Amino acid sequence: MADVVVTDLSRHYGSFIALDEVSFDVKDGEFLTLLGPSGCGKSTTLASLAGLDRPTSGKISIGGRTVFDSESGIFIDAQYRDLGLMFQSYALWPHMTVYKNIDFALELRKIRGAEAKQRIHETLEMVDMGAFVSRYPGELSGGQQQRVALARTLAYRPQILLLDEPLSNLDAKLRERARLWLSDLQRRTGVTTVYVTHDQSEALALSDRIIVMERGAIAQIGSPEEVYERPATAFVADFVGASNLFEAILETDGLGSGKITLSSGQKLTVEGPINLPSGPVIVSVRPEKIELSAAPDKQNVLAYELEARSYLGARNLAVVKVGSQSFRVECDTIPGTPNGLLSIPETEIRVFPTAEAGGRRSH
Amino acid sequence: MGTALSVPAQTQSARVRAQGSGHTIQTAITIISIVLVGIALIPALVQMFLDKPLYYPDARFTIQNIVALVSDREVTATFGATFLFCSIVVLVSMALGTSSAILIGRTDLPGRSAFLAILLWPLFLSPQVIGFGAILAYGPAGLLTIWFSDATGLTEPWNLYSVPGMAVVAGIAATPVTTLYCLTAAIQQDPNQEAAARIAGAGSLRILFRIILPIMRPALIFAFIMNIVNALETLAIPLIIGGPVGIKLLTTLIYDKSFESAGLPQYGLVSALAFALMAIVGVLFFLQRLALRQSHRFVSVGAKSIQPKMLALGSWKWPAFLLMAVYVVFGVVVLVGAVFARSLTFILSPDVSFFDAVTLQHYSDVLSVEVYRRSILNTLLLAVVGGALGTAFVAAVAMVAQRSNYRYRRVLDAVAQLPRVLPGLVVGLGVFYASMFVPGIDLLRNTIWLVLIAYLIRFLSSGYGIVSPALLQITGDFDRAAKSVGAGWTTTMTRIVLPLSKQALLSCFVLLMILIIKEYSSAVFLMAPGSEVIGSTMLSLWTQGLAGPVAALAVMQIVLTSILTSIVTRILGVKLHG
Ligand SMILES: Nc1ncnc2c1ncn2[C@@H]1O[C@H](COP(=O)(O)OP(=O)(O)OP(=O)(O)O)[C@@H](O)[C@H]1O
Ligand SMILES: [Mg+2]
Repeated sequence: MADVVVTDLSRHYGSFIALDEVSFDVKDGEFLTLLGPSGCGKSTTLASLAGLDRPTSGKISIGGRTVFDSESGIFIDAQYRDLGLMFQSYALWPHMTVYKNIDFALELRKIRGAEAKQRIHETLEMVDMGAFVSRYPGELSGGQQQRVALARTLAYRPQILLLDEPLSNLDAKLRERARLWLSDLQRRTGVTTVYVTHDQSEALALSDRIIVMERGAIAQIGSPEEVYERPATAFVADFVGASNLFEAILETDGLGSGKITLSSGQKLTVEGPINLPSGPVIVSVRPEKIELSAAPDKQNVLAYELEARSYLGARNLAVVKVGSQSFRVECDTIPGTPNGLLSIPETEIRVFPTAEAGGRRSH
Repeated sequence: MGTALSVPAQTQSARVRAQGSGHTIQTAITIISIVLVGIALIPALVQMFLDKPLYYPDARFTIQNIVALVSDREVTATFGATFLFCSIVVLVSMALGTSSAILIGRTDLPGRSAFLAILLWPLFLSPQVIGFGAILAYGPAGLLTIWFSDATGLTEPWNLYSVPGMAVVAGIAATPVTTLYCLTAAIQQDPNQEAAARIAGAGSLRILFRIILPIMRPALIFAFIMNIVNALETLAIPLIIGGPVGIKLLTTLIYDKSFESAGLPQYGLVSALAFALMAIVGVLFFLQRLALRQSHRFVSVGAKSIQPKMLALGSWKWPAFLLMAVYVVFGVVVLVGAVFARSLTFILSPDVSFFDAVTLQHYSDVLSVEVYRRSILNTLLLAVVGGALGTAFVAAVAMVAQRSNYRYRRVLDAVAQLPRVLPGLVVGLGVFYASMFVPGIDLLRNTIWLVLIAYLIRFLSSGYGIVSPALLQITGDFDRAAKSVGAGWTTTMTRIVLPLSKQALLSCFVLLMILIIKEYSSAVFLMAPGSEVIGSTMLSLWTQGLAGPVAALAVMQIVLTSILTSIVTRILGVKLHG
């Protein structure tokens, strides 16, 4: 087990910048997730950690050993980094049985005989695949292949486990199960894990910390709660938890709190501290924080018109209109009337600078 | 980890760690390839600028050889004939090949699979054998010629010993390859495109010309250029048909100039001619790349789950069948049949009953006369050893070029494709020169191992053409996974990639064996007593007028090919096409 320190890592493809001076660290035993939309540079980061791709500049050290440093020209190839990498495609070698697939790495480490056998069986038991040792990958289901692929990366006890969207090939139900099982396994083995996904619920459920990436840069690093409750930018608020985002005009009162004016002219109070100057802002409100059928004396009450509704199983989704502004609202029950009052608690309103004013990185 | 890490100096082992392992092997493979291809090119290149053979101490620099290309009457006289020859070869091969491919792959022609099986025979025959067959059947004293003139009263219905005559034969010899290229394209077509046209109200002919042929265009361009290249470099048929009556093409001129009995062999001119040939071939390949650059992206290779619906020929069905039958019977069966019949008879003539002339003498000669037997054994040895060595070499080259991050892998890729533009004669000449000068190689002079080197160079591209696309289809994740668990390049290749490309390697092995058994042109410069191959023995027997043993040797060549391929395909379960 080891910790990872990444400093100012950049990867350029010609004039295209896939990674732009990214810095972060991974603590020993931590489960860290790289979360972001397609093409934001997650796999590029992972490949740099693994040593499969040589970054343009920056520095990476793993367990105190510098594996890449553009300044002194150090680059250690994947083969010598002693990491475990699990591929989105699993990449199980089709001409080898499950046993052989796992044994290959042990053979390279000169672990043979009874010890190899014991390790392989131990690891396979850990992923509940003990009964499948002599099968070929082509004879396994997707979920089983995924577990074998994981066993293959665990058996030789790598310093760090790197997982690139390992669950994306599974159907929704299996994915749910695999997620629980994966986090359980990680806790039991305690292996430092870097996990890549574009699925925010996966990231929230599994991680100790999440790095939200946007266009080759880090938008926010924080625990799942921090990222969800206190998104650093409008992008994070939107990507993690699908907020209602809209433009408004902010007036601060000089005491830290303030008021926003919607395009319809209605005003809402916002709890402080707000460290933005008065002017145009982007506002984010989570769909589940909006309360329908509110009493008229509540905070930030607005009249709405029900536009559409859909049933999500345990919850309902309503789309309501306030003036020209649409809001998505998640709630247990939707009132039967086409009109009503809603309230938005002042603690649940986040304001961010507009793209022109503050750029995507607000701090 | 709180203390600052000192930056270690980049030691030897650090460099190895940066490059990944296997660097030494990759370099070795690249150097060997460059040396081999260099052997074929450089001596001939130097010779081109010398006035005497390279091994003469007083040879001097000259550009006379290049000037001669455009000024020497004997040389310029071949241009017209070569052009006419190539045009006819390409026309015949393209017309027969594409129509057979479409009829067999796309329509409900009766007896499609039987036609295909027979039609592909010439793939396993050397052009020499086809040439012999043509002379036996369609020559002035040929069986069919005489039958035909008896039946019609025409004294000379056709003249095989003419440029068009031998071009038609060479075209027929080249047809199966064209058929194969086009057949794959025809079969792989998405039947929905055709169905859509049919629903839109298009008839069969319109579908053929508006949908099927345009979609096949990349394959057609490819086949067209390959045909020109093949026609340009073909030696055997012009030599045995055109040689006796003095028709000269570029290739036969090269051959004659190198074996001129009177005075010095004109190797300088030969080299210049060879490079002229190569330059034309090179330009053609360049044009082909240009023409196919965008189109190759459109070729869909996805597995088609549904069998495409065959185009109904309707009232064209039986006329088409008849045309196919005429081609297959007179273009394939008769040629092969004539060789078989001649191998079993003293004489092949309408005036003598087959059963009166029947004999096994030729076969007993072939098996008992030392020279004949040796050439068969040499060919067999070269086929097996050359096939195996060639496959191993091709595999190594393909892995460095396609499956490594070796710095010069693009160079290696280009080097591996280069022999495609080297006519067999040029390769043979280069190796011949190398055997005069290069220490080490000179020890191999007059042995079949020199021939082996020529074959390895000559067929590098052919094998690479099979193995390298197959490697591209194996996902790179397999290698990366191996690398991430700690495997070096060599381990990854031998344990992961090699087993996964077994099918392609076996196909490569079979292909190389077939090519080696048929090969002739790159061996002509390297023949010596003791190192004969079937092709060279057949030619020298033919010039002595010993048609019977030639036919028996030709049959042995066919038998050898069939036995070896069926052993490999049956036992190892390789599929030859597809
Ligand atoms: N070899 C390459 N050449 C040029 N651009 C590349 C190359 N590889 C990746 N990129 C670009 O770098 C960016 C980051 O790619 P990366 O694979 O890291 O995305 P990702 O975050 O993993 O996306 P996904 O979720 O779709 O897997 C993308 O815009 C991609 O187009
Ligand atoms: Mg990715």
